[in-house]
Amino acid sequence: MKLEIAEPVDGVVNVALIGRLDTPGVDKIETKLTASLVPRGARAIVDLSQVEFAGSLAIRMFITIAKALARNNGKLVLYAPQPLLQQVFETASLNDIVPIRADAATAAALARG
Amino acid sequence: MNPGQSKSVENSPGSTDREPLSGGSRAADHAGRTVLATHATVTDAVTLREDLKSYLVVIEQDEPVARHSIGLEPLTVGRDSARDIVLADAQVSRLHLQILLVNGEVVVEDLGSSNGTFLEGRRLTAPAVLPPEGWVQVGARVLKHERRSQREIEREEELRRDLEKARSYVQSLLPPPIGSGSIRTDWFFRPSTQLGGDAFSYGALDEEHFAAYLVDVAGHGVGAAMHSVTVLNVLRQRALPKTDFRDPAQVLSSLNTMFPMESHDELYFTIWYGVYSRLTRRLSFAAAGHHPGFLFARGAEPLPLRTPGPMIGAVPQPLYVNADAQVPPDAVLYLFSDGAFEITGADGRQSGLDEFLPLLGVDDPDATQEAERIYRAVRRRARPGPLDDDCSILILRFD
Repeated sequence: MKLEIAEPVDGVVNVALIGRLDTPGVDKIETKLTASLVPRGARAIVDLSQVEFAGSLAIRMFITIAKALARNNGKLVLYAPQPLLQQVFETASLNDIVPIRADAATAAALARG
Repeated sequence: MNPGQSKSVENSPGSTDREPLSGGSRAADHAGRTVLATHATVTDAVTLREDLKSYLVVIEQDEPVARHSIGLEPLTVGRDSARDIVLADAQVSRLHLQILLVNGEVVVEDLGSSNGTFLEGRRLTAPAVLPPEGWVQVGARVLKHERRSQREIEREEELRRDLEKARSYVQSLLPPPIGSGSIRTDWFFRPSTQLGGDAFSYGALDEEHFAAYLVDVAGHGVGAAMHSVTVLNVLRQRALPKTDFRDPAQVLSSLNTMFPMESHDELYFTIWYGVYSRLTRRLSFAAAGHHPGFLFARGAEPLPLRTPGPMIGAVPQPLYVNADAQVPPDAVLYLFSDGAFEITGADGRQSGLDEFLPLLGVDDPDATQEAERIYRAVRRRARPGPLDDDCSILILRFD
């Protein structure tokens, strides 16, 4: 599992996740992702186009970070999930809690507010 | 749609990746200066790193059963009692393979076995390096290379004992199968090594109504298991205030009020909850972040029983809705956790619900064993070693 965090553009941080968000994958990135976004109340968008799988721990990670950011004047928006991920997110009604958009531009616009 | 409202369902279908010492330990000391790590932490970590040793862990039916230290002297593996590791398996040759350290790396070599040694799914034709966390398959057994310090092994052993206690407790709360009557049940529950948060139950609410539900707490370990047990107990004892347990959406709303994740160690859970009326043969149900249950009836496509709604505890006052379905004679309802279908195959490919569904609704000569048969089929598809998550399969048969 790889995590790439870009420098902010117009106040929005783009995070790219690459690999499988199963239990080991989440264990590998969760602390770094949380520490990179939450303390600074980032407005962040997360590129999921290269994530092959997301389990329940991944959903929990996104919810926890989104809630922590919301308390800190930040925002988390996910974008470009593959069909299998989209199905998992729909089952979990994740969109009710963490917004999910089709592409980076609409995700960034939402993150900016 | 408000809670309690109903709608009809259409009848359609290696490396541990530790941070480097300097990176992970950056902190300000009391004088406000930035230090990379204290002397104590460096010493501790160096000692730990030097203490790392390679072990071969024997895994049988998802469970680690033995751990052997790997050294410069070859560890021989075979069916013969003279071997260092004896595997009582007809597929294993008397002298099957050997494993040893060569230049600090673990090397595995097949010694002319009849049925072969498979490294990460590929048959060995020459000695090969077995990396940390790598595995070989020999007959029905899996041999995994773990690189651990003595301290890590002791911690793991302690955790394993705690998990075993928690697992026994969860299993003790699961209901006995019902073998006769107008509703018969069968189930199979296989906790993962780390113990996920699955739990389920069923039972009569009154003379007319029969409830069944399956809970899956997001996370692993004792914490997730104990959370699922708490939820299970609340449902079994009907301990939700001002709640009609015949109304699935109302039950989910009450659970959400009782279990906000902020107050429960950031744990949330998914649930499928259904209530069957013996009088009307209607099944009313609601789900919270959970994939559908499936109703199978003769001559009809499998009916997915799904409703929208977020997982329990994630947001305050979410909207849960009821749906219902008519239950034809001899229909079968399948409930299962995501651990039953989110499977990684031996080739590394991820399978999902589409691959799982064909395992259901198959005429089974011994219906009381169907849940276990389904699990065995899932197990055969999965890569060797323990499954990633708990696997729960609950089957209800209606007369």
